[in-house]
Amino acid sequence: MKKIIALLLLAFVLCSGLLTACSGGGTSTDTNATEAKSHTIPTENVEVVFYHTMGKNLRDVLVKYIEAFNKTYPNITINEQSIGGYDDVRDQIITEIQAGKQPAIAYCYPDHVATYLKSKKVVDLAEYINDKEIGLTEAQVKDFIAGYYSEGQQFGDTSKMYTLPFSKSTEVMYYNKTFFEQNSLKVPDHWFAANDSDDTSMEYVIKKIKEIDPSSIPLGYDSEANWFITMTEQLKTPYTQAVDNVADRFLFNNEQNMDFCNKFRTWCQNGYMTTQAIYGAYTSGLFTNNKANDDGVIIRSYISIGSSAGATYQCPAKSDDGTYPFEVGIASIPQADQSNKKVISQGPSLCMLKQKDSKVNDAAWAFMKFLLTSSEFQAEFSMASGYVPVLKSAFELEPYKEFLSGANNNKDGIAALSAKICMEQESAYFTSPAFVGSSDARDEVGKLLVAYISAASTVSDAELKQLFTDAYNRCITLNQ
Amino acid sequence: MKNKKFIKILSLLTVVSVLLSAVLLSSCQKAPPAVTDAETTSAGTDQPEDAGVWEYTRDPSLPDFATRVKLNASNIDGDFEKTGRGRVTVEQFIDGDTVHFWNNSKSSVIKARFLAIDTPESTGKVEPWGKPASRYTKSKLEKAAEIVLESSTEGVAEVDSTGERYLCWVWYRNTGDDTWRNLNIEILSDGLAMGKSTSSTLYGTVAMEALTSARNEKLNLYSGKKDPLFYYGSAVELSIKSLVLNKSTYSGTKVRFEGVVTKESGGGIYMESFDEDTQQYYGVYVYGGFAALAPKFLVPGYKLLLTGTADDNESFGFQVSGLSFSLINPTDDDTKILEKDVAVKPTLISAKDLNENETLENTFVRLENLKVTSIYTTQSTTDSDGAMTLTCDADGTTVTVRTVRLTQDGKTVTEEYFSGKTISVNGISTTYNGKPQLKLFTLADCEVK
Repeated sequence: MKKIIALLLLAFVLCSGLLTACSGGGTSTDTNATEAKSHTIPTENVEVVFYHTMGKNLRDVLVKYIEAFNKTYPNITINEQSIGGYDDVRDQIITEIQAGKQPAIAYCYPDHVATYLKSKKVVDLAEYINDKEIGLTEAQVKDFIAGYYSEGQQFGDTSKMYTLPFSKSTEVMYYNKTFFEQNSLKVPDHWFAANDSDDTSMEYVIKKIKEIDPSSIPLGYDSEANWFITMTEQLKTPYTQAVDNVADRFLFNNEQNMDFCNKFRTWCQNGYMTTQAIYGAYTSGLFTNNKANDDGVIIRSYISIGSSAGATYQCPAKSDDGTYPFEVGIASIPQADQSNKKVISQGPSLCMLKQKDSKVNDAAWAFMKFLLTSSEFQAEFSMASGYVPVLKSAFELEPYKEFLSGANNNKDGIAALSAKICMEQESAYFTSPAFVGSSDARDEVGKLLVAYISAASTVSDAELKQLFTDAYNRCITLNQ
Repeated sequence: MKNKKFIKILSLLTVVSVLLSAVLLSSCQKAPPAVTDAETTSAGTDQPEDAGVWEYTRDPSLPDFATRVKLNASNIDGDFEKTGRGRVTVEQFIDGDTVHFWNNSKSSVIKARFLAIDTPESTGKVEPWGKPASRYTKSKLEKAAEIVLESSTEGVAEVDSTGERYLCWVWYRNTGDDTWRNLNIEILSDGLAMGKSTSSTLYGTVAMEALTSARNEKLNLYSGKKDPLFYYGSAVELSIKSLVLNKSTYSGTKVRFEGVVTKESGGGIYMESFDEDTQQYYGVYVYGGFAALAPKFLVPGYKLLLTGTADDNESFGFQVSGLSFSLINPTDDDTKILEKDVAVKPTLISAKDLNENETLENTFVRLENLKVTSIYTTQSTTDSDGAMTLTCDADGTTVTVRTVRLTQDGKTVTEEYFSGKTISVNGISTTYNGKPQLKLFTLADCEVK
């Protein structure tokens, strides 16, 4: 009898224990069970903080998908916060890592992640991706555009995956299609003229434009850093490398790079081109300018190189009488070598940062997986933002096909046209090595290009060369 | 006997427990249950308890970051536009991070975008915490006895990415004896802005400390609470007539209505709908914003069902903004195209109607036989360069017709086109500085005799 009672009591106690665990009381038994299975989507209430840079229009899209996510995981609260710009996200996270208060998910660029890695707070996503229960299926991995996906493995050890692509863009060349057609100009596909009649070179075209409209600044290039780095990729000249020795990381101080800077310096001195820093604002403003200055002259550019995601800003507003001042054409940026086409890969990825409670990371993974494998989210985000999807399946959705089919040279179709051009260049995308200090190199070459090409004509060759040396030295100093 | 009874009770308890456990265990193994739409909606749309009232006083025990940086007081009497530092007075408040100042030394207006901060929007479109931020900036500068603008680079007044606004640090003090306070940093420290390239700016270190402090102290935007001045409720479904006849009632409210797009203008559209009771059209201006999909929806001749926030403010007057668009799984709030290619015809009205019937504002109307008596052409460096104001006579009643910069065969239309002529115009009934006028958008809408 005692045995029967003992057995019944044991059964009762066991069942009671299970009841308590299932009631969501967060007992120690439950916690231990979760920790033993390191990657299980938590069932208790968890808050995941997500830092990004989205404005209201994009947040509306994000919130819609958070609501969809919460239909499956009502216990996971996604606390999404717009922090400002990309650099603000980085700076905020660096500050918070020191206090152990970093968010679980963040928008990131490779440079940022390289910095966070110093603190060992970045989660290796491969642990989740390869998890048999909650990881990505082979089909889901293959759905990512390979070039974007592999960017997460560029941090020294390819077995580790520190980022997953969120949305992408590149640089494209916008040109005043109406002006080009009126003046029988060809769209340039390479930078430097092989001879005086090389009419598909940028060098030839901007000279011609200046002759036609002497008050113009024919070419505007928004990002000086992108320009410098892209030229080194196109010309295969040294820029940086990810090695241990700090002095060997920064390779941009060389004669080949001075050579292309000298050519651009000539263009700048002739009034053929400007950049964002020299002009003082995004050069899209110069490209779409339709206002006369105090002297009654309209100063504008006819070619503008900028982000494919900013296409709508490169398109002039429709006049109140319903007409457009001009049509906008979009093409790939010029190349230095047609057999080595290169365009820079831009756009945010997502990284995951370690949390004190690993359940938060597990919940963060559930959300990342939901968002990044959703072709509908990718397509909708693309249409709202101008960035292109990172999933192949997004391009197969009928609404996205319809969106792309509406591509044209005016405001209502320019974003679609830009996305199409962007996708066509996918094989030419490159990223630079990411390491501690790679963002310093980027900052320095951007400033260097501006200083070099805008220096007064009286500045000597030795002084120009010194600009390169100074930029290199600053990179070394900042990283020692 | 007692034992048997005890065993019976225990057995019963155990059986019940096992059954309950089995049911609960099975639910434990499944994904958590889904929340219904209704639950989600109600959870996300409640207004805060303190709706309509935002009062904020900074805890005096918190550090005063606004005076941790010091204004270089040399050359503050110069011309900001030339030297990057100068005294100004407020010309017009726009929102939390943008104010138009009067440049005292040059007699010109400086459109100032505050450096290092980004406050939520409160004009054009309204975002949570946008209005508190706007009120905060206004309250600080209204009391200021002196205001100085400073650029980040010594000697140079820099513009923002639009090329039209100067990037500024805004300093103020309430009496001549006070310490200069940096408003940009003060806004950050009180949690009413996000950062904007904050750390790389001139006062980046202190600005970042201020921002971090606001986040740690959970102030305003970082409080995790709802903005009491923002409307979180569901959209109020109404007619354009109800909306425009009750502007003060619906200002700040999310509204949903149907209408036909009559004209595009200034990044937005004019919409109208016909009211059977009064047998007239009622119209409203809707701001489209910069959403990439907006041009696909906001097309003249489209009948739309749209949801946005009504707002009546000093800068833009009464308008609806904050629209959303989606081609995939649109929500109730996303703009819907109900019909395309709707014929848009103007309502024939008299000069007296235009001048006296305020309910016609923003509707598409037609006035006939207007004798042009005088013309003024705007000359400026803005888009309105070449626009004209035609003063007309209609059987003894004066009517003002305002044109955009009209073009014909690519050339700007000049006064000669209208001078001394009699015209019939299709346009939007609008007001300028409180005076009614008929706005003409294209020559196709004007017959000249």
